[in-house]
Amino acid sequence: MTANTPSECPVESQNQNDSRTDQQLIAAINAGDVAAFEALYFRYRDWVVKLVYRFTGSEDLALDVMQETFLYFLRKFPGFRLTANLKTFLYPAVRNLTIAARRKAGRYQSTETEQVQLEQVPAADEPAGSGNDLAIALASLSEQHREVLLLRYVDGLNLAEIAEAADVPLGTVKSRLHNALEILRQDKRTRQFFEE
Amino acid sequence: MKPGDINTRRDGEEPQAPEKLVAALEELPARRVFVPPAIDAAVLLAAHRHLTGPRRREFGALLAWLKWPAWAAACLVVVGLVCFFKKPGGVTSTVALMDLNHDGRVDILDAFQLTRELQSGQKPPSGLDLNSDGVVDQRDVHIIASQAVKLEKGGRS
Repeated sequence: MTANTPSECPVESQNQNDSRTDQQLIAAINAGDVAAFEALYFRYRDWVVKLVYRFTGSEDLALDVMQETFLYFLRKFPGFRLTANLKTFLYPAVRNLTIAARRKAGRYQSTETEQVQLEQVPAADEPAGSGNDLAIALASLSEQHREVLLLRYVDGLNLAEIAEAADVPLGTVKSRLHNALEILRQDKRTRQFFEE
Repeated sequence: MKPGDINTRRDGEEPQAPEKLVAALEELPARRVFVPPAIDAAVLLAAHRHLTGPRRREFGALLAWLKWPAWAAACLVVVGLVCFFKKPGGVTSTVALMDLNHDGRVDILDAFQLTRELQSGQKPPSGLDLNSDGVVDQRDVHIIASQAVKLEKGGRS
């Protein structure tokens, strides 16, 4: 196994084939099934890493917080009860651990995130409506607006799950999503997405 | 509603994004962060340790953690009781001495017995020099009598 092909790791591929639902895996973990935890870990690992990277723009922090998140999750067993989408449980944990990690690292998220986004600024002759335009437009949104948009359309959470994860009322989530979409509609870089 | 308009109803319906936007969001270039296998191994090792047998260890650790404070508390109680009932010279030993008729109580009968012994010329035990004046006399009888009144239920030897 080379360092660039983690997907060839036999353990990871084995656990990615685990067809049990999250609820079934949780029940197995509560019974002490380590393989069930492995399956759940690999199922959500990349999402957690991506989420932290989205917050911080730092690979190192993404890896650190990912570990902390799963160790925090592990300590909930036995006795953990999954009442909703697991992402709904993981999201606030990831966010809080990211805040703590950023404080410890002495970095400011918005600056780094914007810097990462700005690295994707297209050349002058790149056609409008490209993914980079969208990325730049997203970077111009407030964190609250951007997050609700990405949680809904990239991470696949429904509005109720977003409300629970972000610990805000459902109406607030709807309002933020509406405002985010309105801003993108008004933005000349992303207006074409709203045109027929 | 015109094409491209966002559903502005927020009274129960979710704002809907155009399909083109949703597709573009899903295709956003996402930088893949490589997770070294060593990190996976560290997390899974922690999981293995936590899930296989840590319950007993944790329970045992909890018992051990509770045991020492419990023992310490018990010792404090015992020491406290001993100190409470035992003065220098010993409350219990003095009470035992004052129980001259050995009926398990210090009462007026013990004071009477000491009086009789003094009147008969008997030499009472030197431990009955309760006021430490070097002699056992009527003053010590008075002390026994006052103890008999003070001690609730007559005291115990």
